[in-house]
Amino acid sequence: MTARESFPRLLLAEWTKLRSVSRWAITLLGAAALTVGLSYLAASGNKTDINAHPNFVTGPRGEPVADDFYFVHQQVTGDTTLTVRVASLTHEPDRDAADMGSGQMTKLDDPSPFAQPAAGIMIKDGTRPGSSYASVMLTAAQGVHMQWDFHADRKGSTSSGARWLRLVRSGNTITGYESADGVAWQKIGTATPKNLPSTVEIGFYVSSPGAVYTSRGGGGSSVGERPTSAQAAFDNVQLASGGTWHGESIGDAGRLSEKGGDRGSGRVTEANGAYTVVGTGKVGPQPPDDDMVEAALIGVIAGLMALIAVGVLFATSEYRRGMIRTTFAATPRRGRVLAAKAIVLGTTSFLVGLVGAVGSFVLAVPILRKQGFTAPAFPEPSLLDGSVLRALLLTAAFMAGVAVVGLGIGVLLRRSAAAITITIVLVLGPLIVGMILPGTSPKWLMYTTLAGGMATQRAKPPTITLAEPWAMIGPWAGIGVVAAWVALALGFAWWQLRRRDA
Amino acid sequence: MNAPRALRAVRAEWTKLRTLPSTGWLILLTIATTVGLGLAITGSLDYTHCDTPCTLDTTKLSLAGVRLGQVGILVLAVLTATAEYSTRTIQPTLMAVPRRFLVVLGKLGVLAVLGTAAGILAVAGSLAAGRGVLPGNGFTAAHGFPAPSLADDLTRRAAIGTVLYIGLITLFGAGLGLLLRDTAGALTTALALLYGSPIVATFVSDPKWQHRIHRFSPMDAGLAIQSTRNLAAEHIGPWAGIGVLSVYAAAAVVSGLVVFQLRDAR
Repeated sequence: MTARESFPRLLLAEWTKLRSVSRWAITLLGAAALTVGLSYLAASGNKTDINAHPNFVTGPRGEPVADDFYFVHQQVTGDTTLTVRVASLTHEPDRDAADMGSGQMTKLDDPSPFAQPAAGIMIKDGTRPGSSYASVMLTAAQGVHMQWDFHADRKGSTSSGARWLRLVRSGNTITGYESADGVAWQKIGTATPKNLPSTVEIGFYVSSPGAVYTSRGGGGSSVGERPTSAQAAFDNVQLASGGTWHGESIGDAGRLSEKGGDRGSGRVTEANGAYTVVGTGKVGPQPPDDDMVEAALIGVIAGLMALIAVGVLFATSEYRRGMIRTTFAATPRRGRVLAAKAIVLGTTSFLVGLVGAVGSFVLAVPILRKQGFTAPAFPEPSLLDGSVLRALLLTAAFMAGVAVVGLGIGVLLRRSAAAITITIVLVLGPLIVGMILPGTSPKWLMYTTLAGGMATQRAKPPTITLAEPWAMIGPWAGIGVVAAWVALALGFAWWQLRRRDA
Repeated sequence: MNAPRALRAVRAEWTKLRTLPSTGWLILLTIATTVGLGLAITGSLDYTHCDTPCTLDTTKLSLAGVRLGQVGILVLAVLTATAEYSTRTIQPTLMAVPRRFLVVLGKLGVLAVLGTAAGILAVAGSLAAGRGVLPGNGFTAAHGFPAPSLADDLTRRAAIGTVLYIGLITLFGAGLGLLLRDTAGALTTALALLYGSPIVATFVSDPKWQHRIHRFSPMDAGLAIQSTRNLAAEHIGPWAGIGVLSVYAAAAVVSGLVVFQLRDAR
């Protein structure tokens, strides 16, 4: 029999070993049951009242948004064209850290084009916060952008100096242009905002998102925001119908100034057709950082423990019973035995993990919805959403990877007690330390240890505003770390298998 | 050999444990990890980076190494109960001492003494390390941080409580080992209960549930007694916390004993 033919037989042999030890079979089923069970129980311990928040603004698609800026506008009916030149845009210098009363906090750098100080022109469905809009703007650090309805963004030139901007409305579409000299125009994009009545508000505006500071560690996290303001000079304002311009703070910015606070108050001054506008606030998506998919997968931590035990025992029990000598007599090429074990264990654990993850999602999401995780802040996640599928599949891969690392460590140490303890500590230790460590320092722990795999459970982008350290890295980075550990553990195990007597 | 049978059983178990090289290493590991991690934590503190007023609980932080160090004694306790099953020496053991209650008593007695002894050394080492390092980092009596001393009621309570904690963890591990007769199962269960529950608590966002999980998780409840400042921030009272851990240990030991009495050894 050639070696090529014998590998499937080897796989079958290892599968038979895994399947026929009743204690392991029960533990594997138990891993799925533990995952689903703990997720189900813990879901009722999650509660949010975010939808009851008084400052909550929803966009045209029902999603949570921020819509705060200073708007100098007038009413226009029908097709129209607005052209302005943004002569300058200045904003407050950033401070890296701030003392917000309870210790030092780190500034959160948000690279999103929606989180930049900006001066631009806008067509908006009235002045109600959250209403449909399309805008073209010069940002402080990311050049020119066209945006609409709090989610769409088209990048224009990277120009940072004075820039001519133009919005053209024609029926239900709005086209954005930019120009360096007001003569040669480049098109940026075409928008079709969701609600665009025939009479709209049109004008120029300044926004400046608040500086967000976060402090985490010691098992908790807190977020604080300091309003910032930006100032821009507009000239060469050209609108076909010449009405009068009216300056107004939209959204939170308006509420703050009504209360008499000078922070957050915007203003406009006019001199010889040139306008100087000071504005504050953010126009863009504002989803909560909490992740419903992650919250539905709490049980994974329990399932992992069971899988680690099976993974380690799949290796060590052969040594304890002297079986390994028989195994190697049957298949002298030890690397192939290790490969077969890893494939069988990895595949089985992946399926167990997938059952656990999907089961958790299906059972825990309805409970979370009862606990306040509902639209608009938390739109109902569907099993078929790209990000949900990714989270569930990568979580199963994470669980399989950890089981295979357990196998590798089991081969290396040959002792169940030591191998199980080390593997569990490798997963749980960095999580606990990472929760206690302050600031962004646990990031490196997540990039280097198996605990980073927990990042696979998140369907939302990474953030440093949460207590859980694995939220700091992305899911692909997390599974990459796990893959590196699998390679490392199997590599060492293979090297030791060849070197040592059985 | 006219010594009472119980004493002979204890002596037999002591001989078994004493002659295993791993016993010494695991106890050394417990002490070294506890003291070492405590030293690393206290060494990294700096008074100048602390808020004013500085509310750090230096005693609690000096003793925090036990959170990792307990793994050594836990492995020892589990192995003491389960290793005889994997090597089949449980049969000669039961032939020599047919009264199973005495066998368990012997194992638990020896383990309790070893665990407590390791606990005393680990706590003494951690506090001494804290005393040595903390003043150099600005935590001086002038700043409101007198050196941790057993003359202080709260520090003494924290020290005694930590020793008790290690002793109870030892019994908990041995009980689980007897109950499950399987090293892997018992260790996995114990580690998941100890380390998994605090992680689940941070996952959960409802403060009421967080509070409940912290109250009833063996490690968080059992180590609440280490607190010497801001006691109200703990989720459970010091002795009530030790009580919770005692319930875990007692449940494991009693069910382990019942199962051991009823089941055939194999």
